[in-house]
Amino acid sequence: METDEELLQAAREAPEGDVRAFEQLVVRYQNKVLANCRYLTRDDNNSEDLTQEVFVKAYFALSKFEGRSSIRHWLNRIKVNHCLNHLKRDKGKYALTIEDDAANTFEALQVEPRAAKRLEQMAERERIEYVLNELPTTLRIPLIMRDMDELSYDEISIELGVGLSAVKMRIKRGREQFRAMYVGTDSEE
Amino acid sequence: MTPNNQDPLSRLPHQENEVSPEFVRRFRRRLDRRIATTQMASFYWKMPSAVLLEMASFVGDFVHSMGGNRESKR
Repeated sequence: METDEELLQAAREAPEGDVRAFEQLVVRYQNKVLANCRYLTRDDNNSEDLTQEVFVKAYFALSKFEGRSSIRHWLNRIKVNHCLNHLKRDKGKYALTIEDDAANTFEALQVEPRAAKRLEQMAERERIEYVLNELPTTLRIPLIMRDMDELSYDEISIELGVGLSAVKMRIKRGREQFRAMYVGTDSEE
Repeated sequence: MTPNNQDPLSRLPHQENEVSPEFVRRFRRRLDRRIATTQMASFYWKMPSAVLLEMASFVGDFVHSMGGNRESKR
């Protein structure tokens, strides 16, 4: 099986219109990118379209990719950027939550207890999805960017336009809330 | 922790969702459309300067040939 780097090289060297090598990269990463788009945007209806757009953007950015990071990391950055733009366009919901200073208060970061009630008999993946969906946007997005997309704190801070300390605090609290909800529901079963 | 005592956060990087069976075909169509649009935009962007260059070249040749005719009459 060809490595990511070999496929990328083949995609770059392919004549115009020949996207077979790039398609193999798409097939390799499509499920992961789709999951990330879904968790980031909570938009089940558009997440597949978003995923396709991410790969289209990646295709046109092939020549700019310098290979200093892994292909996965590069794709994650394109995906995060695209999903955040989608959220910003989406009636300003994102702007109200992430960029609102009031969201830094402890009360704004609390998770509603109802989240714990519906987790019985869910498969692990569904449980993770459910817990993520129940987290407030202020915690969910930085947590996904850090622990799912594996972006650095600096990258997250730049993408979100939020200070580094705020990013660290949100990720720390997001992890705490995530674990608490997950463990809490586990013991209820 | 999870049933096998693993931190659930450690599973986040491995999360995947199945795409629909038509995904790659739809992606291909979308990409083809985008490539065609880009090529057309590039054509219309370059066309005016190409026309101007051609006209300048034509005028240059014309002037040159007129000058050449005068020379030969002398």
